[in-house]
This record gives sequence, C-alpha cells and structure tokens, in this order.
Amino acid sequence: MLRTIRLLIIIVMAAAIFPAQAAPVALKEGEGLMGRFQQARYLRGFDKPILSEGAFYLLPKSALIWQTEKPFFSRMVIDETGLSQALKGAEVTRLSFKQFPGFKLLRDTFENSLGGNWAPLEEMAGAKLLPVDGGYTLRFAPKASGLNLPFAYLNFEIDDFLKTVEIVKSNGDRDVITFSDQRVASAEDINQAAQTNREKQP
Amino acid sequence: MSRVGLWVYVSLLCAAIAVIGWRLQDGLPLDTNIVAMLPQSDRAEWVARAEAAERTQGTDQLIALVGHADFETARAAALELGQALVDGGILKSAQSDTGLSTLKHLNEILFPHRTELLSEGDRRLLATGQEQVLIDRALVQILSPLSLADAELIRRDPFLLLPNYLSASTENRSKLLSRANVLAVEEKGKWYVLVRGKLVGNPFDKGFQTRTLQVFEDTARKLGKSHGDITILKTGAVFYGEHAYRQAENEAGFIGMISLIGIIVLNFFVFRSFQPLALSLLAIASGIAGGLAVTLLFFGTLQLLALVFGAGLIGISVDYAFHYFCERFKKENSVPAARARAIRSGLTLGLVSSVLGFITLALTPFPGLQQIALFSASGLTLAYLTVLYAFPYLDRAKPFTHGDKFLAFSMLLHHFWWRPEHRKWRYLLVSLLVLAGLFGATRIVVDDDVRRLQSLPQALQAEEQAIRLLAGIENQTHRFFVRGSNTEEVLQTEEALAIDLAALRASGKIGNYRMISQFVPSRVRQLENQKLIDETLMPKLDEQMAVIGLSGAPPYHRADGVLTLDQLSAAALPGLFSQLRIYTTPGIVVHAVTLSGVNDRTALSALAEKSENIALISQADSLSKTFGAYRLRALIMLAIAYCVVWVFLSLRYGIFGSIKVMMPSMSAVLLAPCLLALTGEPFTFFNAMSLMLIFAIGLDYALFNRESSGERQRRAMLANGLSTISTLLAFGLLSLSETFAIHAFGITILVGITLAYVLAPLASDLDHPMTEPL
Repeated sequence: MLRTIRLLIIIVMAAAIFPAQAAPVALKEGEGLMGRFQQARYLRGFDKPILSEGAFYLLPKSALIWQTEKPFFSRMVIDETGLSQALKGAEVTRLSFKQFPGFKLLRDTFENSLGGNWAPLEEMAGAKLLPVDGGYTLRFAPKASGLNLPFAYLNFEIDDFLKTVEIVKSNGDRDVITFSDQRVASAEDINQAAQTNREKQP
Repeated sequence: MSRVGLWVYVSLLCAAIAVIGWRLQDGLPLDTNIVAMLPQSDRAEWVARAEAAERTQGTDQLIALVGHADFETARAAALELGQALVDGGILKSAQSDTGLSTLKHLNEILFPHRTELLSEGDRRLLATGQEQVLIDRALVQILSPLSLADAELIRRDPFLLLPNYLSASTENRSKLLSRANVLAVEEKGKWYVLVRGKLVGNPFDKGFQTRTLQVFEDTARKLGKSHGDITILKTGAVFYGEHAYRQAENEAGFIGMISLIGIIVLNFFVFRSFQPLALSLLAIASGIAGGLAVTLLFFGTLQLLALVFGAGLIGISVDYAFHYFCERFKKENSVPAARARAIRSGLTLGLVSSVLGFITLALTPFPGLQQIALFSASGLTLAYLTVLYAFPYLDRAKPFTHGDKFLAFSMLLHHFWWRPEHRKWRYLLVSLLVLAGLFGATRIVVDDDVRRLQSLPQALQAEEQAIRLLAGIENQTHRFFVRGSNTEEVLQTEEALAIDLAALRASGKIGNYRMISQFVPSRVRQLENQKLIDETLMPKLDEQMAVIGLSGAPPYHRADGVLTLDQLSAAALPGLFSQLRIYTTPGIVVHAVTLSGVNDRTALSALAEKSENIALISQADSLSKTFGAYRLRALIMLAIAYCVVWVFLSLRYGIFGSIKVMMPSMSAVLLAPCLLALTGEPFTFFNAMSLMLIFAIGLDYALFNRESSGERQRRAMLANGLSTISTLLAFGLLSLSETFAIHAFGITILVGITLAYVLAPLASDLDHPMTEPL
C-alpha cells in the first residue's frame, strides 16, 4: 500500500515537473487567424532598430494582410501571386512572385507557421519542432533548389501559436517579429475584421 | 555566220560553266528570305535603313523552351542544349541565365546617378509637392518583412530612389521567372526553361540552316534519351527559312521532274527518236547554265523564287527545240542548216520580244524579280544560240517520215479561226470569252496582304505561339522610329512623344509603350530630376535618416556628369531596351519605341505626322503598301513593254500589222485575271508579274503564226502546241505550290498561256504572208 502511495506521489511530481506539452494550434479548414505583431528591424550599422507594429489577418490559401499602424498606417496584402503595399489607399509597391520566387517561399512559410501547419516546414528544414520551456523552437534553413532566398535562416518560437520569428539575412540584418493576441475565427469573420480595420486608417 | 555563232555559243557555255563552278565551290548560295525579294521601302532613307537594321536584329535570334515536369531536369537539359548550340557553331553564346552579373553591373553604373533618375510617376509626385508619398513609400518598403532593401542599400539610398526607378522602368510583362540562374516558367505541372542566343551565321543561308537544324535535332534526341520526357519548343527565322528552302527544293524537284517527264514523253510520242530529246536536254541545260551563271555573277546569291523559276525555264527553252525539230517534218528539207534558217525569223523575233519583256521586268526594283528576269533573259539567249547554232552541227538526221496526223491535228485550231464553216462557233467562243471577261472584271479582288507572301508552316507557327503564351511575349504590331542627329536629341524627342503616348494609354487607345528614355533619360531631363530632388526630397533627408536610425554623413553624393547611354554598353542595357537602339552613325541616331495593345492606329499616325523625325512603322502594313504600289508599277511596266515591242514589231509588220500580232498576247493578258477572278483567286502583285510572262510567251506563239505560212504553218502550229503543253507542265504545275506567290504565278500562267495558244492563230495573215526572212 505504501509502495503504491509512493508511486502515485512520484507520478504526480513527475507530471508537475514535466508537464505534457500541448501541440501548437493548427487551423482547420475554413478557419483564419488574426492578431497583433511588433516588428523590430535590426539593420547592420544603424543606431537603433526600426520598430513597427500593427495587426495581421491570415486567410489560408488566400492572403496574408499585414496592416502596419505605427509609425504610420500602411497595408500590405500578400497573396498567391505577389505582394502589394498601399499607403493611404494608394498602391505604392507591387512585387510579383514570378519575378522573385524566393519571396513566395517566405510567404508560404509565414502562412504555414502562423496557421500552425508545421509539417511541411519541418520537412523542408529537415528537423522536428524542438520542445523548449513549455513551447517549441525550430530553426528553418531550407535547401530550396535554385531559389535566391531573401533570408539565410529563420528562428521560430512557438507556444499555442507562433510567438516570435527571427528572420536572419545573409548580410547580418535581421527582423524580429513578435505576435500576440492571436484569435482563431472563420475565414469569413477574419476577412470581415480585416475590412473593418482597413476603414479605420486615417 | 553559223560557225561564228557556234563559237560564240561554245564560248558562252564554257564561261557559264566556269562561273557556276567558281560560285558553287561552297555550295549553292541560296537565299530563302522571301522578304529580301522586296525593294527597299519607298519611305525616307533613314526609315528604310532603320527597317533593314531592325529586320536583321530580329532574324538573328534563336529561342527555345526546354520543358520537363522536374525543374532541375528541365534546367540541366536547357543548359546542355545551349552549350551544344554554342559548341556546334550555331549560337555566339547561349543566354539561359538571368544575367545576374549584368544586373549587378547595371546597378553599379546607375547607382551614382540615382538622384537624376526618376520614373514618370515619381516626377509627377515631386513636381506637385507630394514628396511625402515617396518618403512614406520608402519607409513602407524598409519596414516590410518581405523587403528587398538591405542595410547597405538603405544607408546609401534612404529614399530608395534607385530600386523604385528600376522597378518602374524595367516593368516586365514576361511570365518567365528567374530561378537558379535560368529564366523559367511553370505551366500545367511542367517547367519550361529558356534558351536564347544570337546566331553565328546568316539565318537565310541554306548551309547554316541545315547545320542549325541538324545540331538542334541531334541534341534534342540526346536529351530525350538522357532526360526522358523532354519537350522542346523552338522558334526563329532560321527554322522558318529552313522549312521554306525544303519546301521550295521539294516543289522545284517535283515540278522539274514532272516537266522533264512530260517533255520526254512528248518527244518520244511526237518525234519517235532519241536525238530530239537529247538535243532538247542540251538546250535546257544550256539555258539553265546561262541563267544560273549570269544570276550568280551579278547577284552573288540565288533567290528562292529564282530557283523555282529556273525549273520553269525548262518549259520555254525547250520551245525553241520544238520549233527546230518540227522542221524535220518537212520531208523535202534534208539539210539541218535549212531547218535553223526556217525558224530563225520567228525565233529571233520571239527571243527579242521576250528579252524586252524581261528587261522591263528587271526595271522593277524587286531584287528577286530582277533575278528572275536576268535568269530568264540570259537562259533563253543561250538556249536560242544552242538551237540556231549548235543543233545544225549535232543534228545529222534525215527528215521524219511520219507526223502527218500530228500536223493535221495541230491545224484544227488554225482552221477553227480561219475556215468560214466555223464562223458561228468562233463568234460564240469570242462572245463567251468577252462576257466571262467582263463579268470577271467586276469580280476582281485586289489583295496586297503581305501575310500571303509566305505560307508559314503550321507546326512552326504553333511552336512560336506556344512560346509566346508560355513566356508572355506580346506580339507588337506597331512601333515608332525616332531620329535625331545625336543621342541626346533622340532622347528628348522620345520624352516629348511620351507625353502624347501617356495620354493615348490613359484613353485606352494603346496598351503600353516602351522607349529607351524611360531607362536613360535625356541630359535635360536628368538635370530637371536632380533639381526636383534637391528642392523637395533633400530638405527632408535628415528627418528620414533620424526615423530609420541612420547617422553619419548624408548619403547622396552628386555624380560627375549625368548618365549617358554610351556608358551602358549593349550588354548592360536590359534586353527590352537594347533592342530599341536601332543604329547610331555620325550625324544620325535612330531608336525604336515599341507599342502594344494598339487600338487606334489613326491616333498614332497623327503623332507621327507631327514631326519628320518620327515615323510610324507597321511591318505588315508597310510591306502590304509596298506590294500594292509595285503591283500597280508592274502593270504600268507591262503596258510599257507592249509599247516597246509594238515599236520593234512595227519595223517588220507596220503599225497596224504589229497590233494584230500582239492582239492574242494582249487578249490573254487581259482575260487571264478576269477569268481567275471568277474562280475566287485574288489579284496580287505576283499575278501581275506573271502577266509579263504571258505577254512574252504569248507573243512567241503569235509571231510563229505570223511568220509561217502555207505548209510551214502546220509545223509552226505543231511546235506551238508542243510548247504550250510543256509550258503548262513547267509553269502550270507551279499552281500546286504551297507558297502563295508561286501558286499565284502558276495559276495565272496556266490560264493565260492556254488563252495565248488558243488565240495565237489570229495573228496569222493569210492574205499577206511573210515571205522575206529576217
């Protein structure tokens, strides 16, 4: 009896010390994700990082809307074909993935990591998510055939959702993007929220 | 005289053989470029020169797409193909890569001038005080997680002026994307990798064409074996030229063979002897040798159409032999020299008339038709000398003892026109011809569309279309040439033109335009840009640097002088722009401005009319217009030829007598296009040119009718009949050609020569026969 009680205590203590790690949330079919981001851009030789923050809206297989609100309002829509940046409602940049296929990989990586679809990223990275402090990490350095990638490697930190991504460039520049307030909703609701928020721009 | 004639003939023949041997040492210099037959454009000299330069620029390219489901396989195969084409001496260099080193080089040249280079949109923003848009745009681009700008670029160009200029000025609608140092496109699960390059040789040289196709096909076979299911799409003038040559060779071979077989059968059937055939072949060979030698001597190369007509010449040169051998049906005439004498008048008059006709043809400024004229005139002259001066020495045969039935049969046509009992039928035939002619005249449709010139092979066209669709290459039908005395002047003219073109684009009259000044602005424009940036952006530089955390000395240093086009070699200019530099000579610089999506040609014409330094070019329209002009000129030449021959023949037959002799030929020339119109055949430049041959051959028939009388009439009619059959075999068969120009010749001659033969007896004058030889 005493032996059984001891065993139970050990099990309870082990469970307390090594809690079972929950897998990151993965979006289901028809679902989207929205939340906030903070980005710090560290440029080699610059005095300070360039900071920005805003909201993001992920509509899987459709678009990633990146709405910067600080230091000023701008909106970037990244879809399957390329990205378009608009300022005060007017498009200022358009970049086609046909011309820069390496950016397409970065876009797909954003969509998969934000949406919790880690399997393809693990496959490309040739590594599994590594459990760390109740979450996971992944160093992503794909060997993409012939593509000129806009980064050297990515570092992901994940809890329920993607928490931070560090984009490290080959010249030493790096971007650190931290995500918060993630919320899963139907793609329709996410799209509606993105449209509503768009109208808030000054 | 006949001995002198023989020596002249032998000397000319030997000279012809020597010339042919000399010129054909490196193979037959056959030019398959049917457009090269055209005269120089009748536009301003600088425009004509620019068109020629551009034509060369466009035809010396080879483009291929190598397709496979796996990108790496497609890429490897494309690189192998490119290398094989370079190693095989076909391409100077295979440009399968994206020219990354070129882009880097380009950036290095442009970077010091970044404050002088502004896109049209950015200029407008700065000029209207909206510089903040450019500043915010730079910030947006810097902040983007998917940014192209790195620390180095941002430090040296915090407003990101150069990347935005490059992105606006090199906007590319191509679907090809840069991947692993090649340009590729993915379509329906298959990757296509581009291979392109400049040809080492002349795309219209037969030897080079054959070598190109051989290297291409050998490599494609090897790639198929080593990489499996490889798709290779190819296009380029060299492939079209090769196909045209093969088609012409096959047609010439086929037509020549049928013609020869026909002549052999005719000879045996009518003459029942080997000798006439052998001597006819000598006349044919001499004619072709003469024509070929003179053409090669004067032109250096032989045009495709001249070769095909060389086969046709057989039909005419053998006519002379027929007239000679028909004299052997005169049973009491056993001396060969007398046979030659008997036909000399008709033959000489016929030759002189034909040569006059061909000389008139040679006056047209079409190089290819000049070749045909020279080929025919010189060939016929040698054939004439063969018959009159060589035949009597080689012909030792006695008169034929057979032939009465042929002679009697050949006179049926003559009787039809001259015997009173056929009067009713004569009237009926003439009435029918006049009615059909009049009705046909109302149905004549003139067609000068140059696209009919060459019947392009469907398979090659389909490959070209597939490449266009896959690569997203637009078919540009119109463009401007802009001229100036130096590059600066041309760039300024382009910039002035751009204002009007931008308005046309905004109103949807054109889709887009591309000009060199969009990439390298004029010196004046660059100084204006510099001033605008100095006044609007530079005062906000410190603020911008503070926002992005950049300290130190201001990054924009003024370059020494403005950017010039000469700083950019052709290799450094993006491909889209390098093709727009048409030619540069001291005193004249010409650039092209390409236009796409043209919906309103009139608006463009109005722009061209504004300045004599701007010309609107539409390749197809321009060539079609030229064809129309020369069709008219050909008809005028024909009228002149009749006048010249009228004067010549009047010396022998008098003013009215010569008109009577010319009447059958003239009627055939007038009626042929009308009757053809009834069958739906259009009337083109080539139909007009073939009327010239009907004129010459038809005159021969009429002249032999006029020069013969009594018993000799029968022999002349038989010879005319045999000539008609052989001419129809030689020329009429051309109507089967798939090349429209050749078909048009053939079908017109088929109808015209038949009419000329049928009407020829009308030239006879039974009351006043020609008894005096020439």
